[in-house]
Amino acid sequence: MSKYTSKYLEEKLADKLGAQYVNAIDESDGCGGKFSVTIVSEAFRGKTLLQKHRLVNSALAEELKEIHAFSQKSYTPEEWEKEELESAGFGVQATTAGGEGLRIKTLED
Amino acid sequence: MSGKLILRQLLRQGIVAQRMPMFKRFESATTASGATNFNKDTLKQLVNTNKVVIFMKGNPEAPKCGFSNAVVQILRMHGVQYDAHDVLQSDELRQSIKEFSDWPTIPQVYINGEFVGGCDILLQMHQSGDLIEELKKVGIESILLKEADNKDNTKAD
Repeated sequence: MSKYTSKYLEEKLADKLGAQYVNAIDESDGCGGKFSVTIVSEAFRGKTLLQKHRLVNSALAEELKEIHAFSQKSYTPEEWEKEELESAGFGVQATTAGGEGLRIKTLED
Repeated sequence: MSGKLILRQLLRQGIVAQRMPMFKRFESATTASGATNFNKDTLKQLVNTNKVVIFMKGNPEAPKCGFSNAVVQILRMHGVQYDAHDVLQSDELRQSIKEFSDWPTIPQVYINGEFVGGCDILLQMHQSGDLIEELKKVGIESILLKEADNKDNTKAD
């Protein structure tokens, strides 16, 4: 049991990391012990995968003492866009043209 | 590039997961170090006993957590030999490795004595192909790489 909710985590991450998109899914059927979180933030720019995850872990240092299962996907806006394209079946090549070219709005749904 | 793409397909289909030989030593926390007091020095030794060392719940043959199981499966797909430490055998190890790595969760993966990450990171490295590169840096050739190379050679167009 933990006292945390998806909404709480989303707000905290949005606040602490200036995230432009946060989606936290409570996978514990409401008991608050297991979350899966997707975060898109400029704060991840230039950081390695490990550094990104450390940033999120430290933003939730207190919470992670109680949340026993925590999974995160942390993207810069560009990486997130690419990820969305890939999962939509556009393949890896689509987004590489210097940030211009193919653009699809992904952050509002 | 094409090798990498093929690899991704292979991974997505999961067809290479099956017939991998199991190379691993795994040791419980206490037998591995002979110590119950996990200070910085003993932990440093512990993460260096093999090129790949993991801290998990349960052991590779019987993981006791989905995240630990995922790490075991990924390493098996790459045919990696590694040492595994079961933190459920020692509450002290469980706490001290979290502090040592500055990482709040188990499993934890070390390559060449350096902390790599937990389950999410290993999975992402696996999917991006970076894991193959990291393993190569320490002289481990992933089985998946060999499979992809074979595939490239047969597909001569």
